[in-house]
Amino acid sequence: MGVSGVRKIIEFDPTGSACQIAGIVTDFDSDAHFNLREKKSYERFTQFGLAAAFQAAEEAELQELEDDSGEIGVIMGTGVGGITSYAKAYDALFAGPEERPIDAYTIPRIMNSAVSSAIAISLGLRGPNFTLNTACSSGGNAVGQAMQWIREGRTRAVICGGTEAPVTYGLLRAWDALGVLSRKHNGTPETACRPFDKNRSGFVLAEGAAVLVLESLESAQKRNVPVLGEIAGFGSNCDATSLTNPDENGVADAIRLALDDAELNPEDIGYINAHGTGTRLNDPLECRAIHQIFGGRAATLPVSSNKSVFGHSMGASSALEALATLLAVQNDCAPPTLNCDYQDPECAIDTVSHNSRKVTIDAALSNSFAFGGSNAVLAFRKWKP
Amino acid sequence: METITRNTIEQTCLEAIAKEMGLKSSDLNAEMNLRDDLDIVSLDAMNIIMALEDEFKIEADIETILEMQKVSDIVDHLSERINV
Repeated sequence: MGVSGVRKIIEFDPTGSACQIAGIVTDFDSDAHFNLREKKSYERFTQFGLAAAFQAAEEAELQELEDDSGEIGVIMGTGVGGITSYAKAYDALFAGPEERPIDAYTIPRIMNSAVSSAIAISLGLRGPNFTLNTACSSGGNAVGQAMQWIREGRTRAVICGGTEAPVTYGLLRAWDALGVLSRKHNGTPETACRPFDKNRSGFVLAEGAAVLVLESLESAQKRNVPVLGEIAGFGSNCDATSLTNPDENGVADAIRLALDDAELNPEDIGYINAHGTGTRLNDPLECRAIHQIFGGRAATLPVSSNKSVFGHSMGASSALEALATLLAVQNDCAPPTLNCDYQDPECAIDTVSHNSRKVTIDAALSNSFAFGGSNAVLAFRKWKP
Repeated sequence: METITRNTIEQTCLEAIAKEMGLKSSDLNAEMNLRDDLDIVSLDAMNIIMALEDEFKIEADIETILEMQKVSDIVDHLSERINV
């Protein structure tokens, strides 16, 4: 059973926003990972990305590789990067009766690319190094692009994923102004995000990071490190219709692209990790796109949305969900969608509601869509040595 | 108005350095080397200079300060700027 990480915002006074809740990482111990210089240099989103990268690199035993020849790359996704330091800088300039000095570390803290650079610096990785931004599909596009680098032979391994720390007063107000945040559950935050439920009312901002180590099969087998699964395909496209409204055909095309790239048929897919924001607009549209591709199977194909548990961590969300999909395939276990108490008839799918479900999953999709119409769909296949 | 003495400047300098570098000002002295003893790099130095400029309402010569070796060099420079 999933446990929601959404709670009332206490880090600042959210008065003025109709939504006053968020998915906050409450147990992150910055001191356990970073010295004073690093804490001054690295904004919270960079710290999240680095901490996740350390965990991933350790599990993949990556530290044994010395990357003098630049064979290991880094590609991370983030939506709003160091927005907290932007806010502090403007606060210093405009919030008081007098202008105050702006911290000299502001620029390295706000740089979106600080996270990929910091990972490379910390782990000595001299391959290609990018941070990309495609809003809420950033992490998914980062993982997909990493796979392409390995396919092309450009790198033998890539550290990839997404990170975000967007919960600031200004950004909360900005998202609230769009009318897409849940406003009805400030008293019961864990029930706020309700993907595919007929009473859904929007998403909840969240923070976090997820990082994967992708490696060519040849390299992983040579090093005899555990293989968790295969990223088999990547569908990346743009709706090219609207900055804010998703498009059913664009979303369906991205799913089709991922299946074709993976050389999988729709009937091979045993689970879909949905974008599933819990907004009025996204969920039925995503379900219709799933029906476009999967036809009659769509009604019985297990689908879940992690955003009901984590909240929506913008550019990190698709990386968190890619990781959840990988684990679903590895463990034959579809994670739950919380709060889908009354399935919306317009969302005619088999929602994995309330509890996780044991089900054979040989292949799965992770859907991520974004403002700007930038879609990223990843196809995962079970690793069978 | 309180008279600014060289001692005041030195103490304010040590406190600004301590605050920026997460140290106790009582553990610092003016003969310490900025890089070797205090691990101050250019961005730390900029924050320290800005704090001192704010405190003493002066404009320091950043290029000169970034080339300084010891805390006492900063104190000398500020004393000159403040006409102590």
